[in-house]
Amino acid sequence: MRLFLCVLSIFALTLSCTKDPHKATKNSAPKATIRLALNENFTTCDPRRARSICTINLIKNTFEGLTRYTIDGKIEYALADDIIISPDGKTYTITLRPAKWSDGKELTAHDFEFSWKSSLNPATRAPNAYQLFVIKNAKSAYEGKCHPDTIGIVAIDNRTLEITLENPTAHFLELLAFHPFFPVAKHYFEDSPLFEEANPKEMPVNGPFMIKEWHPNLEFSVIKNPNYREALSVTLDQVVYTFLDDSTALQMFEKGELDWTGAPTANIPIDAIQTLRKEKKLQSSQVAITQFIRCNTANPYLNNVKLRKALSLAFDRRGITDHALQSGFQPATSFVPPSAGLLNNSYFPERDTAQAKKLYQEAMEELKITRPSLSLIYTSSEESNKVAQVLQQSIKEALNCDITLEPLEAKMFFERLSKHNYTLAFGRWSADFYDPISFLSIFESKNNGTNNTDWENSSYTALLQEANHITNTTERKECLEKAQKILMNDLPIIPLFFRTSNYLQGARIKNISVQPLGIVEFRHVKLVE
Amino acid sequence: MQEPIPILRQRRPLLRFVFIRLFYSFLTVLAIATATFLLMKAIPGDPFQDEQAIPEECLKALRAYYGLEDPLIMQYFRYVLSVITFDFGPSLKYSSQTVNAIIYNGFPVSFVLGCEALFFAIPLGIFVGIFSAIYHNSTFDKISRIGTAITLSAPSFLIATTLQFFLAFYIPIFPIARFDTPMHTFLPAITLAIGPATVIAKLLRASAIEVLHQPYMLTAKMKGLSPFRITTVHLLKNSLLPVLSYLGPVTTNIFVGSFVVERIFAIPGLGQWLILSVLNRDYPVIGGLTLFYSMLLLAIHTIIDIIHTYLDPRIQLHEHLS
Repeated sequence: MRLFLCVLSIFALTLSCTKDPHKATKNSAPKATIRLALNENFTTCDPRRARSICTINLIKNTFEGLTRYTIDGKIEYALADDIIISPDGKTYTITLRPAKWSDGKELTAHDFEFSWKSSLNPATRAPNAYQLFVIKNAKSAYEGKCHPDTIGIVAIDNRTLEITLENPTAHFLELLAFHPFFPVAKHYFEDSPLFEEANPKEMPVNGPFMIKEWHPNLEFSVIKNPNYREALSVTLDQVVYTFLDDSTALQMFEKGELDWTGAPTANIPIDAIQTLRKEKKLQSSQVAITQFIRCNTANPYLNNVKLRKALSLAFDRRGITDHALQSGFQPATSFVPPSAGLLNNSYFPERDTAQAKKLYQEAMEELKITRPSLSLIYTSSEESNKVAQVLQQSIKEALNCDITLEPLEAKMFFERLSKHNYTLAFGRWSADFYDPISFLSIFESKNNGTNNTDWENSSYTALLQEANHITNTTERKECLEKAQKILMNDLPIIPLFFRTSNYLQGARIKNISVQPLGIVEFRHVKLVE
Repeated sequence: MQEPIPILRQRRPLLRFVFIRLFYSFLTVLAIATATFLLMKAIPGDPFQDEQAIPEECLKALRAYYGLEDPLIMQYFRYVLSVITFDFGPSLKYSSQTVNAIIYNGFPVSFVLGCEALFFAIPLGIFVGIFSAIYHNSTFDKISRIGTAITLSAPSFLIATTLQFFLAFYIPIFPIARFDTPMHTFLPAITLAIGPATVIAKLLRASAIEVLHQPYMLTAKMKGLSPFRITTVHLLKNSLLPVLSYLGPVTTNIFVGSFVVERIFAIPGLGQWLILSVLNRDYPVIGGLTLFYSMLLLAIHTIIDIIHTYLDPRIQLHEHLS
């Protein structure tokens, strides 16, 4: 009996330790709080180091740049009060609005100069530093070929920033809304080593929200930034991101314990999508994300363009989107999604097995083989497995050709991709900023580290570089369409489908949506009780 | 004349045992550290690689910052030093988190859940095992054998999601997920307890059936001892030894946490970190957590060996050292 009571008391004591000391109790949580599901940890709070779409979502809610996107995807001035562009299109003189950091200190043009120049120092480990290469001498300084003081970023005074570009860049205002162009607080970072990671709870921010809790694998939360320049228009007090498995998140949402689950910070289980759509609970938004197949054009079989075209025409895109996944995705017959604004969005039929067979026969005759040895590598997941099986089946049916499926762990997949040790590989690309060049530029050269197809075309590269100099919107779009036509004619990549963001939104949340870039901003959100 | 016995061996066998075990454990940890280091370097995949390539200069800066550009032997010695000082530095993927902070925050959660799971598993396993042995081939024994076969075959994610659906979603007795209150811990603890309880029951049943056929059990009955005393003092004590051997590794596994259970019930324990660090090729976290797991396993084995000697006086401490 004494032993039993002893064990029972130890058990009770142990259970009493389950209260997480970091978690705010329900009673102390601010009233206007929303809870979201998160299935991937935020990796950093520093906009210079953000890489994944999940982390970028946090950055977009805690920082603000010179420009930003409106709720319907248009560009408007944010921190910039006025932007004067020189006649040659290379110099931007930007006047800043009065603004403060979350610690009360004034945000100045020197913060922008410090932030961008520090990104252009490799020691800062900024993975998106190459986005700043549009600025004069930025690439040379990054490679150590010239002094950082020659970079075309100068703070004339506290409220005026002068940016000089290498070439006129028509989409520069879109770039300014992109997180590598966000400022960081110079007064916080200037005395720390460049490589040191900031403390999320101490780092000053300038956006509508600031970080309150940072517990990987548990919970992250942001609270309203009282020093945000438009703080009066922000009605939410707190946003809590809870780290959850997708199925668990769905159950919690249906029990009313979550206000949002699904894109962009989590996923809806594929098998639940059809039921949720029938029950009219599912919300969907078009996003600028293309799923495609990479072809290793250095491979002796896939070097033949007729074989690549035959595979493209034989793939059952509709079978993937409407039957295997049923997630509202749309078959893709171009690389740039229609929402990016190009006029021509269809370069070939979704499926044409007769033409596919004809091209396949011609390719086999040219290659002097009866059957190519092809394999498809991809990162193993529920979705990828289904897509791969449909592709394998559709090629077998249409061309009587076998494709070996090789599901791999993520790091193994990227290792083989970067070493070009594959024949066919899954690929996915989401727009960094809302312009077709964000898609087309990844194939500008074959050695840019992201291409990985060994394909390059001088006319294509020339068209992209020409488009960068054109300021007239219509002419620029025509130039980019010509470039896309070359890409779709050569097919080093075979577009499969355009993704849709699927999410569940609680009834009390109004004025929110997933933007085409896959971002959800909370500064507009209103809560209805 | 008999040789004089050294003082420590004479008066403090337990202390001697612990000191010698500590020394051997230190050597074992170093061997494990070496094996871990070699395996980490052998597995393909780069921690910084992604679909979107990063500039070569940035990659070099990252690798230099984390010491991955240094010669292997230098990296090895740096790793051994971090093992000795138990300071593995920051995570490669989540650079605002140090490995020590990950263990400091995650282990107490996994430990609490593990204690609760053991609190359910051990009594349940003992009860089912002993009574299956005493009433073997009865209806209770047959039902328990079918039950143990089912629970041993079912994967933990199936048990977890089934319990979650029926006891949290369909009939909302318990919360669905998270680790906020004691009620949040029941379902994950039961999920963690089912596997060990099943194995304990099977081991105990087999061991107890053997003990029941021993002559001293008949003697105890003939002496007129109560069934309760026969069961607890004679049957249970003599049947527990195989269970103790099993408890060592299973306790460590439970305390370090289960990836599946933590993922499904949103428990911020160490289990998720262990698996994710390997998938992310997060070398400092892999190294730190593997060593922590090894040290925990060695410590628990030492405790189990000490308990062995109290349960069975025939076993001497020095026998565990040979």
